[in-house]
Amino acid sequence: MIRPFLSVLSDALLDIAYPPEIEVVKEGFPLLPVLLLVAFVGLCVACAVILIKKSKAKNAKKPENGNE
Amino acid sequence: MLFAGLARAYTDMSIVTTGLLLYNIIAFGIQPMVGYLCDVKTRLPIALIGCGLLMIGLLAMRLVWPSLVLCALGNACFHIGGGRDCLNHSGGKMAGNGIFVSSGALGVGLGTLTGKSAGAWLWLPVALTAVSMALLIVMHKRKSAIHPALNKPFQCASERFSATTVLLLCAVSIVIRSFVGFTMPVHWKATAFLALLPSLGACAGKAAGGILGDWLGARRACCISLLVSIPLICLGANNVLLSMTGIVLFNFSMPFTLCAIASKLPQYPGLAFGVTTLCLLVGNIPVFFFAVPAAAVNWAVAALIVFSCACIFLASSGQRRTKLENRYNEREEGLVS
Repeated sequence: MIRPFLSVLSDALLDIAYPPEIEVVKEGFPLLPVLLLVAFVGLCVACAVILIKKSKAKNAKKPENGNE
Repeated sequence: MLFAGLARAYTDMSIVTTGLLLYNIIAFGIQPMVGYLCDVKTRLPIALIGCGLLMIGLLAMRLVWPSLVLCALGNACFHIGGGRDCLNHSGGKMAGNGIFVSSGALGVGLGTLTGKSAGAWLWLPVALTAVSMALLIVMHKRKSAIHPALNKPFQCASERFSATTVLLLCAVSIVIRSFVGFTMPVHWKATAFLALLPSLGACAGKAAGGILGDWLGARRACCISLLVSIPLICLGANNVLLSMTGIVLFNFSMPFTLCAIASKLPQYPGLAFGVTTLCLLVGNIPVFFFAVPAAAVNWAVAALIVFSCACIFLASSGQRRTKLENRYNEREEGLVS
């Protein structure tokens, strides 16, 4: 019951106003930029691990008291 | 909106998608570093800086790539500002954090719709950012020390395991939630309006998850909701109501994972918030490159949710917040007397 209602409502209000949805492609990526981006994520993960270790070492020195 | 701007500037969809990937990586990847910086330099008005960067990026939208980078940097900064404040002022409760993060899911859905309107709605994010900046300036002037009643540690995470183990379990759960959230079968998302509903479901689930987690206990709320979401997501892919219920339940665990990570990094709420967004990014990246075969989607989704549920079961405390709070208060009173 809800589905046809939503469909009709959306068709009437939105589909006319907006262009068709953009599909995200999964092939044909430029290899070098994508490899660089993925390498950057790896770097971010490595940095986060180092920062967590650093913060845990500092926390060990301080008594636990709230978030800040 | 940036995605739509890129699509207008380039006909090659691979460039457009790479642009989206670049935005996600900057916006979500650098948040642990920004968060740590804010935890060390506590007076840094990072949310205001983020809104400023976003405003410049929005106004320079004709320069597609610089605008994309500026908006992504702004996103990283104001998320950390808001998330950090929320964790610091939540009084050890998950509810506030769930509500804060839930609005992001709705924003992504509304932004996608706005972006398809060929730039006519650009004034809306510019106006909202300006209002946010004005409020932040007012709040920054009034800012005082955190009230002791609001600065209680989170006690939703398990004490049986080491902090590293709990962090790892929560990280795995977030990565799975991100990946499954983008790959789960939603066959009814045929129109622009229906495409907005999953975002609404995710928003409702994250907000409700925090409230119910405080009430029922993190383990009970998250594990039951995740297990119930499996048949609804996998078997109700063609039905709006079943699928939406599944999406709502699937997102219940989000506030727990954020608060559990924050509980294990008590002096570093910015870093804790950043770690969760980095995990979201790690779960999102495979979606750009790989499509799970249609025949295997349901099995993959079910197996991943069960695994995520096991991670949360081990990482969470089985007790309700009221009991935990009473125990915390007794401990505090014992220390005072």
